[in-house]
Amino acid sequence: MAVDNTMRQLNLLLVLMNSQRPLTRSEIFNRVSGYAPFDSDKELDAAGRKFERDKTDLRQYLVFNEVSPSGDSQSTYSIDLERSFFAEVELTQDELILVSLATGAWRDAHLGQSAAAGAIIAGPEYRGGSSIFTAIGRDERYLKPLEQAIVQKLIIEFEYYSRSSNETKVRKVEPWRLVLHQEHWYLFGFDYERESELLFRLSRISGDVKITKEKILNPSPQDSDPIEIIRSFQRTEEQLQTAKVRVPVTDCANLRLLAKSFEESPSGDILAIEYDDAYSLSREIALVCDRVDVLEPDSLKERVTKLIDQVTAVHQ
Amino acid sequence: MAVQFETAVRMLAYLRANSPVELQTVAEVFNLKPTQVRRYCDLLNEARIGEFYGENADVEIQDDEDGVWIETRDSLGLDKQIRFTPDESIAIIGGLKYLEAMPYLVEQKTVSELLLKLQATFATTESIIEIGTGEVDQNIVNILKDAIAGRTCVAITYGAAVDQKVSQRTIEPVALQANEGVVYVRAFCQSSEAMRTFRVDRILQALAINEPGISQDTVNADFAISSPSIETRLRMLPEMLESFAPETVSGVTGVGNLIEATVKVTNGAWLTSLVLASAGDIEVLSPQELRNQVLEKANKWLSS
Repeated sequence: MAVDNTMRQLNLLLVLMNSQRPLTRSEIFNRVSGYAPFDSDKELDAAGRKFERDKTDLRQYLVFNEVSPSGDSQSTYSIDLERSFFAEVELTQDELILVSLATGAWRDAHLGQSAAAGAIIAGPEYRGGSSIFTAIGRDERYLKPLEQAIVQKLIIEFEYYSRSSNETKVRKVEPWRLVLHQEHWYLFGFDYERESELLFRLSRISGDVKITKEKILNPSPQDSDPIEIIRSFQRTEEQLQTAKVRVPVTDCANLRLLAKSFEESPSGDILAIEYDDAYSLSREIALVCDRVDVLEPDSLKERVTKLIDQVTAVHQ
Repeated sequence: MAVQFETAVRMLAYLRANSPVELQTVAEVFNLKPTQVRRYCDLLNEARIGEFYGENADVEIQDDEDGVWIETRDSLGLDKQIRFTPDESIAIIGGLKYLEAMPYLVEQKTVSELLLKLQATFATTESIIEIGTGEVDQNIVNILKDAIAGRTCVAITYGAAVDQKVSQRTIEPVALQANEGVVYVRAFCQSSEAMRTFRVDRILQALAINEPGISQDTVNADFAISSPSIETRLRMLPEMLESFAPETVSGVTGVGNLIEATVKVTNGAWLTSLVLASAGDIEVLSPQELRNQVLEKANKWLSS
């Protein structure tokens, strides 16, 4: 059945492409195999329904011109060739490698399958044509429904865990963009609960994302930078602060990577670390808390102690 | 086998534009098995421009000693590709935006120009995917790229994420990988005498050594991780699952706002550090030995 439908749709495309003029529905029925028979009104109705389904299916890929000068029976149909097909694109070898890398990057099943269409441009010969490998969207179950809702501009609902309230509630959101930042995926959209734009971390969504039939009312704001919003949210200090920490020689690599400078001392290296996100820095210190001393400021030391207190509270 | 309209149309245009073409190539482009490509070719031969005109597409498969080739003499005017659908456009643009966000790996200008060139092929030019990547030292990436191209060695000072120890190593880089915005280098490590994967943002220093590598011909660029061996049971906020490779997690059950999961890790010290930095969002339920280690390290801080 699926083969019959595909063949009929393919033949419909070829008939419309090869016609010198737009065709009426009855002319299409006579030329494209798969609509007949239509000896009775019932059969004609069935053919009409097939044609309507085919138009809907083909509109995913092609642009139809449908002109109705005097009612449906006289409508004529043609394919807008310019808007339906690729223009000729000449790509350099470097560009073909980039297309191949972009095509092979997605690990998400849905986006990976969609991106695979890029292979018809790049061909298989550029796969592995670079010493760079790319991977993105691995095992992220929400990318597919969110991408589809964004494309269709439809409002979504999902259960979301809020850290600030320690509650899981249903949120109604107008989805705008998907954001990857520091290995975490976020949804950027308009949140009906707060009546403002908001970022949702995908790992805090539970259950299924429900795509409603309601169209979004607020367009994606072009002047908002979601990555900057995340960064500003992470900032705890108005101005850059400098922390001094003492670490053993050849140890605490995570803090050494953040250090602007260091000086040697008999009891270890003293690192100077500039920061405006005390929360993240305190977590880095907590990672190596059994062998680091925070020399200054005290406020940072207190933050680390608070983190460690929370750890001991759940483990005792 | 489900026969899809989009694949059939794309394949006919591809066959015409590239005729003659090896069947295996078509299979790779369309991510199909060779038998499936044969089935599509059979079907395409039945495609026609109408009862009235009667012409058929002309696709022939030739098996000969040079391999299996597909020759297409008539595609009934279908020799250009249909434009990418919105889903395809978004996925390809997203992939290119991902590359564009890593100027240290590929030239931003080239990607931007490519996106402009490809605009005419997309159903939508809207980018719904934003990528933020961490900071990577461009000089270090350049040294690694040069070493890959010249098959030479690099001396690195590396901070291991597992235990935060700093070590000096001489590596023979083979390939770079950008995984969820994080850049890794796959290399033969002369110190360990084995293939290793290093996070580029954890390389404190890199120095090019203009000496040829000793093992380049026998290594590959497989980025697979080593098998974890320590089994732990953890209770945590669901979002903390992101800290672990999905294939290492099993037996996930919900407990209110928290979940419990069995997680296999390669290094106990790494896990205890992660737990200490989690502010109580991860609790080690078992083994008791790891739970004790968390408390020992925490007490060391609290008593200092």
